[in-house]
Amino acid sequence: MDHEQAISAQANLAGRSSGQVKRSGCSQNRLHTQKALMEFLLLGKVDS
Amino acid sequence: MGTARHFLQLKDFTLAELEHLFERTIELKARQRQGRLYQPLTGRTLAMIFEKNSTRTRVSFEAGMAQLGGNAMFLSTRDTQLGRGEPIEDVAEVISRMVDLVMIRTFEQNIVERFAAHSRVPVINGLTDEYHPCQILADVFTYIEQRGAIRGKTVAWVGDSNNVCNTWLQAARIFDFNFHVSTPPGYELEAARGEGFRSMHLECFKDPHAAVAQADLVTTDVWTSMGFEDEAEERKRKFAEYRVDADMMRLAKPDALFMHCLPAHRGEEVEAAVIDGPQSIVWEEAENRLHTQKALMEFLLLGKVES
Repeated sequence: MDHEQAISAQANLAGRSSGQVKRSGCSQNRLHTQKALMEFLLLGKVDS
Repeated sequence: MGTARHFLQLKDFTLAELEHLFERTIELKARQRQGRLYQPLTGRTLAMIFEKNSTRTRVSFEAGMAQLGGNAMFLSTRDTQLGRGEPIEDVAEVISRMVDLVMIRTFEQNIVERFAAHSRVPVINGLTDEYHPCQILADVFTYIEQRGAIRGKTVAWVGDSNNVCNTWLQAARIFDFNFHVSTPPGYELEAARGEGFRSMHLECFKDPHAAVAQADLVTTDVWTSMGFEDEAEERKRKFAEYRVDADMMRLAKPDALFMHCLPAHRGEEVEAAVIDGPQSIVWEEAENRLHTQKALMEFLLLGKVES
C-alpha cells in the first residue's frame, strides 16, 4: 500500500469509528481527515 | 440550530445561573491561586473571532482556556471576515463543526445573533456595539467579592451610554439594584438598546454629581468607544463635565468603589487620583475577567458543576 492509499484508508477508518459523522459535510470532514493525516505522518499506521 | 446555550446578552442567563457562575468563579479563582490544576476541558477548542482590537478579552479567554486544559484559536479579520465575502451563517456552520466553543468580538449585535442561530456549539459575545456581557459578569462579581450582595445598592454610570452601560442596565434588572446614569445631552441611553428603559431600576440624571450622590459604586468608560474615533475631538468637548474626579467621588458613599473596564484615559473620563486611588478596584475587576469567563466556559461546555 503506498502512502496515498494508506492515508485514504486511515481517513475512512477514523470517520467510521468516530460515529460523529452522520452528515457528509465536506467542511467538517476536512477536520477529521486531516487529523488522520497528521496522525499517520507523525505516528505511522495506528491500529484502530 | 441545535440546543447549544449561548451567552449573547447578560439576560440570556437567569439570576440562579449567574449566581452559580459566581460560585464557580470563587472556586476556580482559589484553585488557580493555589496552583491546583483543574483541566476538565482537555481536548476542547475555543475559536476566538476578533473583528475589533482587544487586550483583556484575548488574554483572559486564551489563558482561561489553557488553564482549563483546552486550546484557544485566535482568528482576526485577516483570517475571517464575518459577512464580508462569506455569509455569517455559512461561517457559523463550518467553524462550529470543528470547534467546541466560539467567542466573537465584533460590531453589530446582529452579527453574533446570526452566528449563534447557525452554530452547533455555544457562542459567547466578547463585545458588540450594543452589549458587553462578559465585562459586566466580571464587574458584578467583583463588586460582590469586595462588598457582598449588590441587591438594593446603587451603581452610578457617568459618561457615554455605550455597550457597557447598556449591559449594566440589564444587570440592574437581574440583580435588583439601582442604576443611575448621567450622560451629556445627545448621548443618552437609547430606549431601543437599553432594554428596561422604563425600568424602576433606572434613573437618568442631567447632573453627574446628582447621579453619583450616595452611590455604592461609580463607574465610567472611555468617551470614545471603538468605532466612533472620528468623533473623538467633539466628544472631548461635550464630555468635559462628565469626568469622574475626586470631588465627584466624595459625593458617593464613603466606602464607595470605582470601576473602569479599561483601557482608561487618565485626565479624560477619569482623573488619575481616582483610578489610581484607594477606592479603585480596576485591577481586581480586570483579573476577574479571567476567572468569571472560566466559569462561563465550564458552564457552557459541561453544564452545572458542583463545587
